[in-house]
Amino acid sequence: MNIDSYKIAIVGSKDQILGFKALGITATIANNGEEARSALFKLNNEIIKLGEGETRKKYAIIFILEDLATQITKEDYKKLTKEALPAIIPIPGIQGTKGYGLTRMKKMVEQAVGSDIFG
Amino acid sequence: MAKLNVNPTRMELLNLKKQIKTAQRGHKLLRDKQDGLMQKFMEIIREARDLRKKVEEKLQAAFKNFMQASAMMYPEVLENALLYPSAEVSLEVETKNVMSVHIPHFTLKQKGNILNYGYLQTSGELDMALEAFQEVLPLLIQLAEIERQAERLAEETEKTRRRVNALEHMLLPNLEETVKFISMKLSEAERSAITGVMRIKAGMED
Repeated sequence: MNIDSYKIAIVGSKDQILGFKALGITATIANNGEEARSALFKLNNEIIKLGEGETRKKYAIIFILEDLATQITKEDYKKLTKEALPAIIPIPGIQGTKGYGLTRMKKMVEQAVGSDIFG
Repeated sequence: MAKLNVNPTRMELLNLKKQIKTAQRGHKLLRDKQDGLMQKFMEIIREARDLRKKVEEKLQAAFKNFMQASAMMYPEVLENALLYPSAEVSLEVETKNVMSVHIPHFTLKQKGNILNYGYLQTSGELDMALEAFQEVLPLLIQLAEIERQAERLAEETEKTRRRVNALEHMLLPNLEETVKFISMKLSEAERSAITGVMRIKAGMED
């Protein structure tokens, strides 16, 4: 593998992530919040040694299905996203979007601006 | 506002005045940074919102295709077909520096064929579903990039806003109050000295 090429991973239930697996994305099966949590931490801890004691993350993006993403606590999420990478992005599953992604974005706006200006 | 706990001396006064100047300069710089961050953030979050809506729609369609495809095949066959993908994806990551925030920039690299299974037992729908997934993937990567950027910027904006507020509403008023207190104390001492001298002089003249 190339030195500066990162991998992509996805966490979700089996039937939903099989399709992504075919694209070459690392698919990790998780059926509930607890499993998703440990999967995220495991993926986050996978590092690649660059020599001279330097390391970097293996995964740059971890997609997580919305229904599991809602079960990840704030503290855990903070721990996972301390550094610039990986980006943990919730995506809607088979049942369609429940608006979690947009809620997340609203929270970002609130954090930055101090109030919700999108309404 | 509370005044700081310092001795009312001329030395302290000079020090405090210097501190005020530094704090004011810092405050101005931070406010400029905050404005810059906010501008960039608004730009990105608008884009992110539109992109997310688009991606969620497309992903929905792709999932639907995939569901139909998997319904037409035995689960074991499906799993076997997708067990060892020959396609590979990798990302190149660059970081850009916006207002001292490092934000990532992803470039997607795809290799190999996604349709890597025997055609005998699999349905044509599966091919289509996987192609749909492949179409969504670049959009997903774009979404990940832009959301991560927004997230980083939001964090930094919050931090900067707090600093600006702390300077504006805590540090600067406190310093100013203390300076005022010391200068009053000093002029009071001066007046007291003068009256003392005047009284002594008056006593000598009698």
